[in-house]
Amino acid sequence: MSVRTRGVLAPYVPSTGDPFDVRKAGHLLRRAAFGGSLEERQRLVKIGVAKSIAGLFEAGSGEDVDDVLEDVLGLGKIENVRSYRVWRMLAGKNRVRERMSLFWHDHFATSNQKVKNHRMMGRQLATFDRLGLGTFDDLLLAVSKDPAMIRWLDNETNVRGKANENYARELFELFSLGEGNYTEEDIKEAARAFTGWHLRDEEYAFKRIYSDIGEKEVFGKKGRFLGEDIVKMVVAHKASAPFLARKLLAFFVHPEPKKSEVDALAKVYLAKKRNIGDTVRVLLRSQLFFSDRAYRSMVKSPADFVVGMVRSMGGQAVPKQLALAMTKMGQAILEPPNVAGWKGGRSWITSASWLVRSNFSARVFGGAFKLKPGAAELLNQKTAEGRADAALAILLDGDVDAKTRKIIRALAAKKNQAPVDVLHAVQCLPEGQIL
Amino acid sequence: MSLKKIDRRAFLGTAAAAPLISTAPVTGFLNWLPEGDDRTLIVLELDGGNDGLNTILPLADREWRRVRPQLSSVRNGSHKLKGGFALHPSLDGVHRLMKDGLAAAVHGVGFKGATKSHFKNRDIWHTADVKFTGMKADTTGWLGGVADLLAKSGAAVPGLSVGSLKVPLILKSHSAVVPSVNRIEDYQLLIAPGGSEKVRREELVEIVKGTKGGDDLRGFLGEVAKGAVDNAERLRASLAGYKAKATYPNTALARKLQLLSRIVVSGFGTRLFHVNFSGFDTHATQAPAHAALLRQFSGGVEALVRDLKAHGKIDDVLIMVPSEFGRRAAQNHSRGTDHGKAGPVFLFGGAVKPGLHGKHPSLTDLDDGDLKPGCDFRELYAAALRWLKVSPKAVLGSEFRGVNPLA
Repeated sequence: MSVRTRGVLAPYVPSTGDPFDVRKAGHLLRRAAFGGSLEERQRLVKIGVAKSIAGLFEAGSGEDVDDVLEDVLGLGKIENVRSYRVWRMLAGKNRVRERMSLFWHDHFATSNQKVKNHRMMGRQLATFDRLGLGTFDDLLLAVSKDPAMIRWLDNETNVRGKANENYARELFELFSLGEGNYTEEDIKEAARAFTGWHLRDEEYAFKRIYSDIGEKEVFGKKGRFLGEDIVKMVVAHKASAPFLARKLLAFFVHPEPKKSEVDALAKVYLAKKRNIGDTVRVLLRSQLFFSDRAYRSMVKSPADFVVGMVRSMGGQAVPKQLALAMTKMGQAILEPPNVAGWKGGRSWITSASWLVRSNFSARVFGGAFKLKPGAAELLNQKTAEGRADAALAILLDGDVDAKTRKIIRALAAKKNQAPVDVLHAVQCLPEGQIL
Repeated sequence: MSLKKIDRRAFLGTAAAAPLISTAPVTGFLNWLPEGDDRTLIVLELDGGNDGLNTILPLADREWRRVRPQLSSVRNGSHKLKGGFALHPSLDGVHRLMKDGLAAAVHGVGFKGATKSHFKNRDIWHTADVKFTGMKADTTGWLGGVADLLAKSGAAVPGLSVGSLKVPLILKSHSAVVPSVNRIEDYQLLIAPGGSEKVRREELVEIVKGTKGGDDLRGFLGEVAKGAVDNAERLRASLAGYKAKATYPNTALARKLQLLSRIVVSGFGTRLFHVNFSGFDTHATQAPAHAALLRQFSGGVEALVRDLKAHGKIDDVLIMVPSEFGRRAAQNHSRGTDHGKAGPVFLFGGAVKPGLHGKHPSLTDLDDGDLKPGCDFRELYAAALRWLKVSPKAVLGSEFRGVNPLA
């Protein structure tokens, strides 16, 4: 079904006054693709906004990732799975998918601190890879049957006559509806429908003897519901579309979405038959996404910062080191702090974490990575101005005010300064922390 | 422990200082507490379950020699204490500190319903929640809860885990910044290697400070960045003046403890520390391994205490040394010991009442082969909290008055 979107979600149409330039290409890549090199940004400008976005969705969309996953799981240890996830952020061909897998990992925040099983954790994230851009219906059902989730929220102890409400509660509160859209009674009854959703040999197993097949009443409807029915009712619940729309907006556009924006995106989501990928595609193409309100309005998460920096430089890196850096900055992939996910936003930046970020940059620019010839050449400019401008272009799309540019140029002009210092200083600017 | 239960009013001493708190800038720490109120708690955890019965030896108890026919040979060369007890021969440093009035120990610490799982018991010690069953959305460690309180009052880095990559549960907080540091470099502003580092660092600091401004996101980021480089430079300056005033042994533990001493002495403002020292799970051929561990512990902690004392800090520092459980009364068939329940906790610092506290658990009235605890571990937490001027009720849910080894 084709939907004509009006208002803030109408497609952004570049014009002479508002062109799709390196700045906007950088914005698109940071938000939807963990950043990109200057070369890539320039390439996107050439092919235009429509093809750029299509490319982000299409590249590598058919690639099979599961083979690699099983190899990684065979190595054992959660650290290997963590490195694997970071490697994918850095090198995964389908960039939007990688981005959405991180979104879902934060949304359905499950931690290995309790699950204590790297295979289950790795497979949960693979489920996000596989279904993260499909319908919410399919994804939510898969998550409800996901072994790591079952262990994380104690559904193994959810049995007939002694229901454990943990999963039902988070399903409503954090995964699909938000507080205020259900009653305590709804939770109790829904929990009964998930009884017997247990594990056998690290796989989902429906255990009939523990299953409560009696009548339940959820959201005012009565029936002999099982978990599948609850998932269907939840995705069709009227609170679900705005709940998801708000989270997608907060991830891609602005930390505090307006109600009008939420309503508009919820409408698109419903028109797209709850297909997440199609919804995100409309969002990324929208005027809102490319608006001044959205531009540089968010704080980079450690993943954005670390992976984005390597991508901007066009460098190479050891995923394990990047994963370690992210952990030090407060984002241990596969170990979100709790079921509500990472707090995010401004809380990412404290004086301690800022230092870790700055020191990581110093190591990177000091030669911990191999820079691609392109970036190295740019920095090899003869004049101080040229070097300063190159560093600003590589790391910040050249988009800084005159005063800041002057400061960086003055630094570059000092005799003792190496190009790496200029890069480091640019990365330490407030803009270096902004997504 | 849930954050909801605590707020900054829980600080007994800060009611009068409220105006100071409300105006303290988030990044301007060290300004946040009334002068002199910079007491510091260090938890040095003996990870694996230290064998208390071979640490503080109940020499006078014949039963001890009977149930530990081989292991009781450590009595040779042990350091005699009052009341028929002695310290393991490796604990000469601890013994000296005790004689100097800087060390104490509490007998038989544990809790009712302890399990024999390292993980479960450790989680309970870390959260101070004896009903702890697993991580929940608002689970915090007991020190993490205190860190939250300190952070609310403006402390930038109230807690630190030293020498481990991940922040342990004990320091898990709701919102406070609790980093873990392996190296002091993690806490300083690094620049890329080469050239005149001093000049280049100063220039970088200038840029970071020069580009702040505005009340938007950019302004916020600039403000934090400025605070960060200020802290780093302050730490650098204060560390530059630090000189060890005691000789630290050449061990991994001593290196961690010296790092800790540098941070405390520098006046950096961190008041809660956790250091992990592992290897105490001595199931087989315990004697040599245990002796080596205790020697490392004793040597490291003596150097730390002497160093802090020489720097005039020892009255403001309390070191607590717990372990997730003690070991069984009787030795096993492999000349080792298996997981037990109660065990002693050492305390060091100017605030301790030196010597032994509490009643040693009976070796004949056992709980299925295990010592019965005579002191709930939360009584010691409560004593430490009171000393820190934090309400035990706010952090632990109750006052837990009992054994008090602190003056």
